[in-house]
Amino acid sequence: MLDRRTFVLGAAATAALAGALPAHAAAPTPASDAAANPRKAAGVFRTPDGATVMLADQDGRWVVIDEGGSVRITDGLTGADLVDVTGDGVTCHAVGALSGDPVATVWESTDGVSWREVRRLHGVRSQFTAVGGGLAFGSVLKHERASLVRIAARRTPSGWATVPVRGLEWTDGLSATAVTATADGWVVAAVDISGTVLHTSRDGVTWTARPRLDGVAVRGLAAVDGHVHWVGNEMVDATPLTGVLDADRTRPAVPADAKALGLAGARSGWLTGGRLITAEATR
Amino acid sequence: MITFQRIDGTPVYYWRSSRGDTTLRNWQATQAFYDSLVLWIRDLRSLSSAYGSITYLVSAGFYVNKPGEHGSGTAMDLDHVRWSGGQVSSPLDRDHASGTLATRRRYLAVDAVCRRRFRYALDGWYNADHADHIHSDFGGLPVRCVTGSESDTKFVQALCNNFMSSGLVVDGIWGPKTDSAFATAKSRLGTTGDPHTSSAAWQSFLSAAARKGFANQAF
Ligand SMILES: [Zn+2]
Repeated sequence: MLDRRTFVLGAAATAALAGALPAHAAAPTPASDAAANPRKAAGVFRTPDGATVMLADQDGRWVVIDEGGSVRITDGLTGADLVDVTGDGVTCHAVGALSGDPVATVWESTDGVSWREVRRLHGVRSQFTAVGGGLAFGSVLKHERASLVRIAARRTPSGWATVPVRGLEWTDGLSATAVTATADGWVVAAVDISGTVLHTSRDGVTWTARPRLDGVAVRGLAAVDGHVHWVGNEMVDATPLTGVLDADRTRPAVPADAKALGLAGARSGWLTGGRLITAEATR
Repeated sequence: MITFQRIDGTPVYYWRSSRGDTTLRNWQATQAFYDSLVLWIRDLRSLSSAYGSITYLVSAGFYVNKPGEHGSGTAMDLDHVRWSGGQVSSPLDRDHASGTLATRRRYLAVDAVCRRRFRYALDGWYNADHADHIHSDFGGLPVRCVTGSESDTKFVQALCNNFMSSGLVVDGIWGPKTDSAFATAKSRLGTTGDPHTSSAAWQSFLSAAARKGFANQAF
């Protein structure tokens, strides 16, 4: 059994916590303006210069925001409906779809600010929903935007190539929420009606189910020091939650309304009050 | 995003970890979606008034941290409805596939009320992932009966089979047999206008179907 992880908060998180959040009211309560903008974030990632930032939609433009609140406007992402983003310290990848009739697309950047499209799946309504470790996961979509069949693309020296996925057929109605490379392959998460289903693969093609995480929607996965960390929110009450696969779950020291954005290496990113906060998993 | 424990005064419970749990929960959704939920439950109360009031609802989630409408706080997964008269409708128990006609008709009545307020209702006939709940979201679009929608088509096919014994294959493909059965249903339910192009006509059709469903009456 592993020890419970302790989470060390960044300065912004401490400041956010200090302004103690009111308990949830019985009657509907409007969110603050700050919480409404940005309304949507593709996720959190590490830029090549070492910063942990979120890629978020602000007033219809994709921007990169750091923990201090400084905003940089991106270019190359016009018409992108982004769902996930990752950075390996050298290259950053964002995935989602071209808006309108959705077309699954991968974008790439070497600084996190200037992006270019590197792969588009023509001829089928589709969307990528998770990227990490050189794999992009997504779905072919039905008219109602529910997943019809799961798809994947893999980064190769000559670009992103679609690859078959085997062993995921029973989860074809689900969309991936997170994927990461591990010491011996990959692990991918998808959220169903009551929690998260997980699969591992050694070759990126054949996938094997592993024990599910009930009651939580996993939004990010990362292998750190031989352990696979995850972050997410509970299905009910959306309580922030983090953990290690095959070990225990922890309530991170982030505000109760914080929404998991993912993991950038050992740092977890959260959206709360319209701001990015990060927390560090330490052993 | 707002936080709510009740929709227009009716508590919403969570049973996925413990069936029968009556703990009040902190659900989240956008204000606009919550406003639609209020209109939805008022429709439901009004159309099912013979059952008494709605004692509680059970949901599997509104805002959920995943891609799509749930992640935007604009969707509901409905597990169960309980009325003060003791009646229940339980998507959680796969009521759409019940061996009892009255149970299936009541499920279709609840399904119809969802479709009055939400463009996309995904139910037990749609796919295996929705066998145990009804998903509702509005996807930013007005309600219509869209023949190119597998969800809408399967709903109409199941409705015609359960209320008119139409004997249609529930395959989600809008063919001549489905079209003809739908025309008969529209006529018998007194629908004027075209539910494919008019939200008002589709809503009127759905209300009439829901009344028949809660009353367990063929049409
Ligand atoms: Zn749903």
